[in-house]
Amino acid sequence: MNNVLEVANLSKSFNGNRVVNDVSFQVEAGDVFGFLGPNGAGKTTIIRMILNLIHSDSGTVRINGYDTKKDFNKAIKSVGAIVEKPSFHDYLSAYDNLVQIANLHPEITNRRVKEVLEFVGLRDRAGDKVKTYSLGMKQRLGIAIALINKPTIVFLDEPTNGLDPQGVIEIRNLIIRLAQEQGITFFITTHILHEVEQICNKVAILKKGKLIAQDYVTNLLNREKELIQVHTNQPNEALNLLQKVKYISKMEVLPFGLKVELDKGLSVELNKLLVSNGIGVNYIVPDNQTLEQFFIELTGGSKNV
Amino acid sequence: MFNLIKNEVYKMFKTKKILVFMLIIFVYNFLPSLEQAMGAIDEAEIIINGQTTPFYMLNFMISNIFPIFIIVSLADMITGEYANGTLKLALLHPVSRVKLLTAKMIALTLVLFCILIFSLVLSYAMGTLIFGWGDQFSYQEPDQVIKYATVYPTIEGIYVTISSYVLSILPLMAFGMIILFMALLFNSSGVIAGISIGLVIFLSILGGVVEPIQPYLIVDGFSMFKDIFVLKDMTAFLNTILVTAVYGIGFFLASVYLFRKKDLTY
Ligand SMILES: Nc1ncnc2c1ncn2[C@@H]1O[C@H](COP(=O)(O)OP(=O)(O)O)[C@@H](O)[C@H]1O
Ligand SMILES: [Mg+2]
Repeated sequence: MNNVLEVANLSKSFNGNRVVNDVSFQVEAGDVFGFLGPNGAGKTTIIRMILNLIHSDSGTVRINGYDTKKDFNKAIKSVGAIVEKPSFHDYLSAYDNLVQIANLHPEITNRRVKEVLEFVGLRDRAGDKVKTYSLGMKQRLGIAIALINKPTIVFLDEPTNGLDPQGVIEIRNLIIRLAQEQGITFFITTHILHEVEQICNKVAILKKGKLIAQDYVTNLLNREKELIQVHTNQPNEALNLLQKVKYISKMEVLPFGLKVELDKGLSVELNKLLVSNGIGVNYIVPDNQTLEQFFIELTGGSKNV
Repeated sequence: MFNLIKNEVYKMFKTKKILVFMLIIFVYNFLPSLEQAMGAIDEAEIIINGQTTPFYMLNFMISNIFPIFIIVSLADMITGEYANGTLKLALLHPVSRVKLLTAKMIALTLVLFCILIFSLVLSYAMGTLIFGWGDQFSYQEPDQVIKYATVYPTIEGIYVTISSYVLSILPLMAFGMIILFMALLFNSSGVIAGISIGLVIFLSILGGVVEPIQPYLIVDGFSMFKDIFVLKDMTAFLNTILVTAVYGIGFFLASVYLFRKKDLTY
């Protein structure tokens, strides 16, 4: 497989505190890779280590096959990135900020500068000082800077953080468009599950510096099992009856009745069994199996991530 | 490398700090005429004319306005950019940390050179305007009577003056390396400015109080141009050059080491 990014056994401590613990993952060409974790999980620290802004205690990073410690210039050449928040020389115009970056790559022409300004919709304001820009405009300028060197992979650290709903939609659509039309690989950190569901094809979940799961988003959404709520007035009888049923893997008594985890598609079967044994079933409803629930199960955390 | 330097010079001109310093230098150039008006110059029996004004001005500004220019610039270029998150921008491209530091110091040298030239030309113009051109170059230390003044014929005087300005880049940039080191150590440009200016004042006083160590202080090197052109003491001059070079190279290497090790977390 064609790995654009390979991270192996990355660790980092700050003042004896281990904030990144043996993290390994790969990102393939064309992925929109979601790096999901609550605040303080270590997402930004990992991006910084990938980009050599901070030094890892151990582990290796390869971008487009080049080791970032041994071959930094080659590794970084086709990378675009916004780390933490987009930062600019705010006393310069957007155009000047882009020229500053263009000057670092011999192959970037003035035409390319205008092209990216056009692409993010800042052409009309390109001559204005960045300090007059709204947060949304700054985020778009950040993306322009990240794209200017025609990167194969773009790192975005919480790209929709702090934006208004309109801005959030714009940025998400922009990412989807760039991934689809230009085949750019994305590595996106976020603490918002919905964002991963919307724009990512793969996800890795980070908790307290450790990766606790990584998979295709669709796999995590369509698991073999499903969760249903059985609303009944006789939960204990139902529990007794269902104890021996093979396709049921988990049960829990709740005020409304039972919560049951069972093999996918067998809820009708379950209903029949209950009714034929004289247990009154008011109704059966699916307990929505979203990534959010999976995330909460995995992290054992609260919904408020 | 050329483009990196170009970027840094461009940014320096865009921050308008250079304009502010040019304005301050302009105002400073009225000081001699102010002293003239107050009668201080006549009282001290000093002959000042257009050909000597730049030399007097350099002697005065080398220990305050120029070092402060270096401090303010580096606080901006290093600490300010780090705190703003803009220092990392170049480092997310094929630019090594050593190259970035080097480019910044070369850019600062170039801009300092421009400021010195500006100051030189301005002092010649204003000195001549106020005092007249005069018939020869004549420089006196504050407590020196006129018959011991350092005197050069006009052409030689111009050569001495220009050389003094250009030579001053050396101690100022060596001083800049110390400031660079400190700028990498702290995360607030205000703190850097405060500590550095404090350091200059402290070292100047220290040199006056503990005279044996004076030749080994960086601030003593500021006036190295006087070692050759006023004192005409070649041994003292070479000593000062050596001390200054040790400071400059030592602190640049220390800065490179520090910067390469540093975790950039802004
Ligand atoms: N420079 C630093 N010094 C000390 N601790 C840090 C530093 N940077 C980050 N941390 C700590 O590392 C942990 C991970 O931080 P971070 O990577 O910013 O998380 P995230 O981006 O997932 O919110 C946090 O506990 C944070 O306090
Ligand atoms: Mg973060």
